[in-house]
Amino acid sequence: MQPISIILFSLLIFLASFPASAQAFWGTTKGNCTCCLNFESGYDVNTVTTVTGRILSIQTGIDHHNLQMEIECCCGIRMMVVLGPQRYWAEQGMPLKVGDKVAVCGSKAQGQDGVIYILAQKITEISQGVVVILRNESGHPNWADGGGENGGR
Amino acid sequence: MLRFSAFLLIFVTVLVLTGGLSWFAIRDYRLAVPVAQENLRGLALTLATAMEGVAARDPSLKSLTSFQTPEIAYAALLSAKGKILFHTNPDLIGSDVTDERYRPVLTKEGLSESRVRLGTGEIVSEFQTPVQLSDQSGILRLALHTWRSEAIMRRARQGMTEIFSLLTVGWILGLIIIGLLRRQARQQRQAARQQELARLGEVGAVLAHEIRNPLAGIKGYGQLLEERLPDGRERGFATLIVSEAWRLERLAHDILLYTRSESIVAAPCQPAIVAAGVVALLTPQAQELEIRFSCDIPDDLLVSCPEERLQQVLLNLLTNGMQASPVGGLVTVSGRRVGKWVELRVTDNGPGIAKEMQNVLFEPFRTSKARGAGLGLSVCKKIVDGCGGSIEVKNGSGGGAEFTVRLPVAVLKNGESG
Repeated sequence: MQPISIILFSLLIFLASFPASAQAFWGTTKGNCTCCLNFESGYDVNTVTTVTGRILSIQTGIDHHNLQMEIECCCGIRMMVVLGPQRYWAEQGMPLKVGDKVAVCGSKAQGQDGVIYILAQKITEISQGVVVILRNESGHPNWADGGGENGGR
Repeated sequence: MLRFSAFLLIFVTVLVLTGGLSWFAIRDYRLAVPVAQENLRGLALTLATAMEGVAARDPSLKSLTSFQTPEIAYAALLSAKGKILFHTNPDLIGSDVTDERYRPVLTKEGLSESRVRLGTGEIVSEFQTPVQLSDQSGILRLALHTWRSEAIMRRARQGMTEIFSLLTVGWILGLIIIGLLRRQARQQRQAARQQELARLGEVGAVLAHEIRNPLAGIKGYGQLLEERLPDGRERGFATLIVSEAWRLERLAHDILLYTRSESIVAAPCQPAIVAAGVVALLTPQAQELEIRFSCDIPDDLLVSCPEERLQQVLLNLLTNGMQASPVGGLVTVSGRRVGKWVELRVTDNGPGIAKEMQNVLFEPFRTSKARGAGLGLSVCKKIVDGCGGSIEVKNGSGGGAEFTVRLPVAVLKNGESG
């Protein structure tokens, strides 16, 4: 290979590496996470809030592991409620459906995708009064104990 | 030279453009960081001032619940002892704060800022400032989401990514175009050479049919005259006729050899034996010129080139060396194995080859000799190229010419290489 080819090829590699390095230049994104939140065991009592809204959809999250439901609160604000691992719901059965009006109490967080997530601690289906408890008051999830002994409806 | 200067100018211009755009993209991104931080700090300062005012007027602190903006992750008002007087999560009011981050704020004035990872995994900007309440002093803690304020950074990052992606694509396309142009130029050169060979082929055919046959007659009658004429001036003329006929015959042979379009079928041969044969052939002529030959090729070397072709190559190179060497000169032929190649080197101690001749030496009809058609080295190159090798020339350290022929090592049928 001629020296000029080596120089051009090196320059090309240098340029090609920049878009990738730019993504992590200031550490605002880590790895390839989209929202960079700890869905499974993350919780912070400081950010606990209660929101009320209607369920728009229930789906598997972007991590293909946790179940999430999108709710629309007053003024058209949409939030994503993180319900926990799919396997947990497969065992417990899903008491909620699209269109239900719910009150969700949980820890609020904003992901790096800009979406507001609520890591749910308690969900109340307002019309029938069904209460689903997913975590204790300090945020310890029921699925971490291997089942739903602490949870209830 | 003009072409090289134009290429250099374009290359430098493109390099400067690339550097300029890169610098612009990086600078834009770097400037976005402090702007984003200032935006968030400004918001925190506004909120802190408003909340302090409300807290000072309302001892129950219930009015603070009215502060709700999407940027607030949580807000808390702490006493100097770390008791939570107000919190956006009402359940925490009255409890003690679990961290010690508020302590340094008591001794400082103004807004202090830090990045804190919450239990949810989110990284927020935490602002703390001492505040004066109606009956005591305290600390206002504001944890703000950074996503909105970082929009400017995201845009700058996207811009930088786009610029570098475009530059990369531009360079890739540029390299492809350069490669295509070079290939086109190479193909044009090859086509021109093919045309040249085709023309030479026609000339060769004419020589073969129209010159060689009468030449054989001239040479034969010349030899007859040479034998029959008594010693003297006439016999000298007959000898001259024969030697010139020989020269013409060799020229016709060389032209035919060079223009013949046949593929060379690779066959293993021992260069040591071939070189020894050529040296033996040339020795009588060399003795007349007082030239010595030195042959140093290991017997176990095997090259992939037909024997008669290698003989032609070495004959031409050794003849050249012999003709270039002064009286008492030495022509050497040596060989060695270099990886998958056998390197045969022919050197002489003649005057060497002028720099400008070295580049065109292997082109047909290029010669620096007074007598000679300039086909010998072209024939050598054709044969060596046909065998998949290469030939090059340079001046040796002693001043004479040094020809290096690289030929592939022959692989025997049992898989061994020579």
